[in-house]
Amino acid sequence: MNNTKKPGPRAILLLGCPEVPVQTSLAIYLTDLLEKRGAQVVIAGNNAALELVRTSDPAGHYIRDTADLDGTIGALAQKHDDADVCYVFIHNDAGVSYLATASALVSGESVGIIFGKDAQALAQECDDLGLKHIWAKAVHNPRPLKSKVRSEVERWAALTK
Amino acid sequence: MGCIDEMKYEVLLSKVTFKQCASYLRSNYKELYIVPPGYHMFDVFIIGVPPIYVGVDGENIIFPYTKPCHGTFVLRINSQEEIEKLKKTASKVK
Repeated sequence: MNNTKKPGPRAILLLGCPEVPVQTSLAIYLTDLLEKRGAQVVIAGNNAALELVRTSDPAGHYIRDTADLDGTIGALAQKHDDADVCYVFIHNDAGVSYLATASALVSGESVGIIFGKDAQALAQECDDLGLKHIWAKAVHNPRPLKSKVRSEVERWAALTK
Repeated sequence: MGCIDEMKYEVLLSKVTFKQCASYLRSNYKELYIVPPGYHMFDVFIIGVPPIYVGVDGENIIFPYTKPCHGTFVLRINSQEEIEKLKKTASKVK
């Protein structure tokens, strides 16, 4: 009998610029939901975005693995890395570019999590490009997106069964 | 191939949307290529919404450079090496 445990699905979270307050809490919330579904989660971002995440979870209860954003894109582009699902945090036009890039590089699904004051326009832009996403106009309070994030993880987890 | 920060580069457009960047490249360069997302150029992997245009003007290569906090820039760098690589690996538009 083979007792080797199969590793769970791999999830990559690509964080955007951390200037919108809800990003850090949503990233930790999403990580917790994904890990409870058995996923191995890597959070990628620039230095400031990652330091906010690490500072919010000093004992490492939720965050297991972090990675540099540019390095992660490079690893995906060179096929040194891949993911079963990639969530891209979006609150500006650059975020849409990152989602389009992730969609082209990741063999699994790529889904945008859109927030901030321009959320509706960015969601429309993603629709026009055929990019999957969830969105809410959340800036300081993550509540409008929490249930959508939970539903999204449930949807994805159902697909992986 | 060098690090962009250490090269002599010119910023042609600053903090624009990717759509504006694509429109600028399409309208202003007679020699134009399309590269896939994640295309490796200098020390960066190109981020963008397909089709990602890259222009060539003489010995200069003109391309989009996206940063999470600042949007997209259009940079021009003199690099015969990158132009040769582009001609071998990218799809020519015009």
